[in-house]
Amino acid sequence: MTAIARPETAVRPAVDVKSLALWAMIAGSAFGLWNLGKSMLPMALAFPESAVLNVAVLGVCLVVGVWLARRTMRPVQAPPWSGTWLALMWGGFAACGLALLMNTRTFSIWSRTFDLGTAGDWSAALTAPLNEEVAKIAGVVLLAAVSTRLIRSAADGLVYGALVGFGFQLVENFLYGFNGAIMAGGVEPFATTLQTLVVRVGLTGFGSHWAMTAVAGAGIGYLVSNSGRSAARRVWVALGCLLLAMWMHFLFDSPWFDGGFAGAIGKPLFNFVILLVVFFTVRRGFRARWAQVSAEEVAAGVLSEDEARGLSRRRSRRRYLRAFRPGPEREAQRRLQRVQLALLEERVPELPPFEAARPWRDAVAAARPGTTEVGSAAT
Amino acid sequence: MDDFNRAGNAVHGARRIWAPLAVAGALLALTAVEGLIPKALPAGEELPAGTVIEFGNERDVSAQVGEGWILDKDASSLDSGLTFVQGDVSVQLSYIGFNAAEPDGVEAVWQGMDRVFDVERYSGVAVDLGEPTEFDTKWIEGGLTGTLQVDNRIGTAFVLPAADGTEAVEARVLGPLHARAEVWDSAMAIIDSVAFDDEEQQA
Repeated sequence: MTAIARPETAVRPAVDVKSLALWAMIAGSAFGLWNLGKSMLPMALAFPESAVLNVAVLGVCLVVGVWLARRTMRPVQAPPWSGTWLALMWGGFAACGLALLMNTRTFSIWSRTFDLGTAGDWSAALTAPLNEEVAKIAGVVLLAAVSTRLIRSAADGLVYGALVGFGFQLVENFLYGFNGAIMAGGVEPFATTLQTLVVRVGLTGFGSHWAMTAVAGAGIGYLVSNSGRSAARRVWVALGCLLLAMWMHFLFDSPWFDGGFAGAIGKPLFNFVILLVVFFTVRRGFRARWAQVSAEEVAAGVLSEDEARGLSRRRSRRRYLRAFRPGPEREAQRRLQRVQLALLEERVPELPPFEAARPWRDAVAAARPGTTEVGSAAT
Repeated sequence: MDDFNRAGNAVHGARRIWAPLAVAGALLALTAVEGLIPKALPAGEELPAGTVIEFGNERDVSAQVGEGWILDKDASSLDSGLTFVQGDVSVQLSYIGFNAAEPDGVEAVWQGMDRVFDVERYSGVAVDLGEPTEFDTKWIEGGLTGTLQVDNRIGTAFVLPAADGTEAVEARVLGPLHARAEVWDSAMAIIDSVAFDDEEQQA
């Protein structure tokens, strides 16, 4: 006889603190922060008004951007907060700090190889797509190794890629805010920082790092998910997504279409359109798989049709809960929804056999109001 | 239960060890290679006497070098400025565009330059900028100059404003205490050659 699972065993921590990847992320971020601090701290002390403006504007961007990414970029439910903060940390500190080091070296290669004009026009386009995309996507690969529960689909890779890229974008904007003040000779630093932020947040921000890394991240999600597809296909898709992200970055930084509308809006718009195409492709695949596993669980008698229908969207889950009286009754239903979601999330990857999710089904049974808990799922 | 084999993510078992090691190795290798390649390339370009280089956002500022100057290509960009080196003496010309807000006179540009030096001061570099005095060149009127010491290098700082007040060149000439006089003179000749397009046309 199999014991019934306690509901909480089905909702496990998303981050494995013993994983090497987690500590690699922390070490990389500490190094990046140290490297960034060497540049940023003296600038912040020299231009405190720019620092305050940077913190205020980018703080608001952080709140709004993280809310939007978590609310809209992954179907069904937001990624766990632990993974969210890890992604932002890697993007903002590790990837940005590493890119600062690598870019300095690579710029030196181009300035020594080309004449000043060619180097000025092309250095950024030849440098950033390689260094910055590699540094950022490394974070998504590490997240996939931090825990098997963070990235299990292309949709997970997409949202974590967006968060890594967004963290990078915020810290890079912070640096550019100071650079703007220095490029203007230290004259009116508040106005120059404000101008830099208006351009980089208001005009080009919607098609910048977050969009590029979301595209590359979707490829990593596809690569590492247990989809049952051939390794060669998964590798080619991941490589294709990374190259597409690099191409987006190359175009963004190249002197092509510079100036006027095309430069200011056209390039980020192009990136945003590519992101939308990837987003809807990934979302359709995820939703199709979700519908498939929901139907199987309904057929197995684990979920009712009403429950399955209500689970797939945030709004319908809230509506379903509102049908119950506030208090213990609604709380019990909320717990039940949580383990039902854990069951379906567990089944989104296609490779594990139907029976492998048995402990999660037991947890759903145990979470139903009126069921007595008698054991653990770890059997 | 075996979380790694059932959780739907292919990074399980031994892959959870070598995947982060591979990522760290790839980043280290890329950084190392990018650090080695520049060492095999020449850092500077010797300029023939009389070379004129146009720089600035619109390439509307020019400077001319005399004999024996080397362009430090790592520290130069046509958009933001040029650095010339001869022996231990360096001449750095920084293009400043006032796009967001125009300064309230050339003194404000000098004070801004002092604030940019603050970045170096907070980085642990000893920078001493003297009081400014008025300074004119062949092409530019209404500039400022003052003594400058950066660690153990001494020299002069300049602010050379454009006539319309929308842009300026900030210059630093630095070298050791006992640098040859003819090199200082040659450095001053570079400063004297700096011109904005409109001033050249007027002249």
